[in-house]
Amino acid sequence: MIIGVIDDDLVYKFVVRTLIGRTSPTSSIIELNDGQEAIEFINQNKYQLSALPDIILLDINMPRLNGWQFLDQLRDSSIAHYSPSIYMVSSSSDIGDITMARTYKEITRLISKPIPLQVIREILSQANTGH
Amino acid sequence: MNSLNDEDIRSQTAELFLNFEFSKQTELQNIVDLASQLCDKPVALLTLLGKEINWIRVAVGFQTKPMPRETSFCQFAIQKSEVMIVSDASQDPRFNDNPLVQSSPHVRFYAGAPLILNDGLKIGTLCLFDLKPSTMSELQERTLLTLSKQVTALLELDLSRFLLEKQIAETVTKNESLKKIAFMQSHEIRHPLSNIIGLVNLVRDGVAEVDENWLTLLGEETHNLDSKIKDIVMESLAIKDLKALRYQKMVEEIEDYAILILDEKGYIENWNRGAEKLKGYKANEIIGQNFSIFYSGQDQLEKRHLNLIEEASQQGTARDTGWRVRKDATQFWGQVTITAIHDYDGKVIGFTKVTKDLSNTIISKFC
Repeated sequence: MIIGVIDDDLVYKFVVRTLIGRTSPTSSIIELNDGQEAIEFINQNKYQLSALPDIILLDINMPRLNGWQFLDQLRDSSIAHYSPSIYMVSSSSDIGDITMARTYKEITRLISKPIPLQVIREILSQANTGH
Repeated sequence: MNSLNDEDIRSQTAELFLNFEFSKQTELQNIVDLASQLCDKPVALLTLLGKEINWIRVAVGFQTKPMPRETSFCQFAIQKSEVMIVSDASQDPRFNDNPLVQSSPHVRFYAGAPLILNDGLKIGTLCLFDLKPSTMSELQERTLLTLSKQVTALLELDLSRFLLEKQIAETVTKNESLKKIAFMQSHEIRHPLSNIIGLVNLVRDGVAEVDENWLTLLGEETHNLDSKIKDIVMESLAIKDLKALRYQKMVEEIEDYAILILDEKGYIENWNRGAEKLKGYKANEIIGQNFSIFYSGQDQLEKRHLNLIEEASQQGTARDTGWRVRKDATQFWGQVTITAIHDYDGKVIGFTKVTKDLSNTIISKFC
C-alpha cells in the first residue's frame, strides 16, 4: 500500500512516517512538500496507477497550492480509475475548514493534528478492507 | 474675555448636529409647522448656527438651506435665554441695513427662541419671520419658548443615538479584528504545539525511541513555539509602547504641575490631573482647544502666547511668568515652561508645556 503525505512541515512528516512505519511496515510512504509537488507527481504517473498513493494525508495550509486547490486540480485532471482515500489534516479546529470539507465528496474524513496512533491504525485497516 | 473661545465650543457643538440625518424629522417638522400656525406667522425655521453658516434644517414657508451667519437674525437670538422679538426690522439699528431687510424678501418681523442644550450651549433657534411688521401675544411667546425646548430635547436625543451607534459600530469592528488576530495567533501557536504533542505521543505509544534525532526535533519545535509566542507578545504590545504607556500614566497622575502637549500650532493634545486641578477644565472640555484660552484678553491681543511658542521653536525653550486664566475666569500667578518637540529631521512637531501655580508662594510672601 502506498501512502502519500502532502505537507510542508518536517516534524509532522517525521511523526506520521514513524507512526505508519510501526503500524504497517510493508507500506511505502511518498512525501510531497506541497499541493503543487503532489499534483505534478500524480500527473507524471497517471498511466501507472500502481505507483500512485492509495491513501492521501492532505494538509490544508501549504505554500503554492493549498489542500483545497490540490483537490480542485485533482478533480480537473480526472484521472480514470484513480480514487484514493483522502484524509484532510488540519492543524486548527477552524469551523470554516469543517464546512469546506463537507463540500468535497472526495474527502473521506477531516482529522486534526497531531494524528493519534489509533487514527493511523483505523485509516490503514479501512484501506486494507477496501473501505 | 473668553468669549471667542466659548463661541468656538458653541459653534463646534452646533455643527455636531449636522453630521447625521435627524431620525425625528417628521416630529421636528410638526413642531415647526405648529409654531408657525400657533404664532400666526408665515415662516418658521429650525436653525443651527455654525461658525460661519446659519444652517436652516427644518422650515415652513421657506427653504432648508445654508445662509450666511453674518446677516442672520439668529446670531442675536442665541445670546438670549428668552424669546427675542424684532417687531419691525427696518426700524431696528441692528437690522435696518441688513440685505434680508433692505431687499428681497424684505423681512420685517422676527421672533427667535434659542435652542439651549443641557450644558447651557445655545446651538441655534426656533424662529419666526413675517414680511410685515407684527407682534406676538404673551401666550404665543410662551408657546414658541416651549416648542423650542421640545426641539432641543429631540435633537439631544438624536445626537446621543448617533454617538451611541457610532461607538457601537467602532466596537464591533474592533472586536471583529481582535477575533481575527486571536484566531491567527492561536493557529500560529497550535502548529508547533501539535508537533510537540505528536513527538511526545510517539514515545508514549512506544512507537519511537528517545534518540538523538527525536531530541533534536523536539528541541527545534520547542524553540519554534517559544519564538512564535515572543512574536505574538511583541506584536500585541511592543515593549516600547509599554514604556511609553507607563510614562504617560505617570505624567497623567502628577498633581502639582499642569503638564500638557501642544501640537505645532498650540492646540492641546493631552491633559493631566495637575492641569485639571490648576485650570479647572476636564480633559474632554479642553483637548483640541488652543492654549491661548489660558491667556487674558490683553495677553491674547499682545500675542503673548504666540510669542512664547515662537521663542520655543527658535531657542528650544521659552519661560514666562504671569497671570493666567482659569475656566471660571479667575486668575492665578503661573510659571510656564514651553519646550519644543522635534521630529527626526529637526522639524518642530509640537511642544510640552509645564505650568506651576505660584499664587500661594506670592501670597505667603505678602502675608
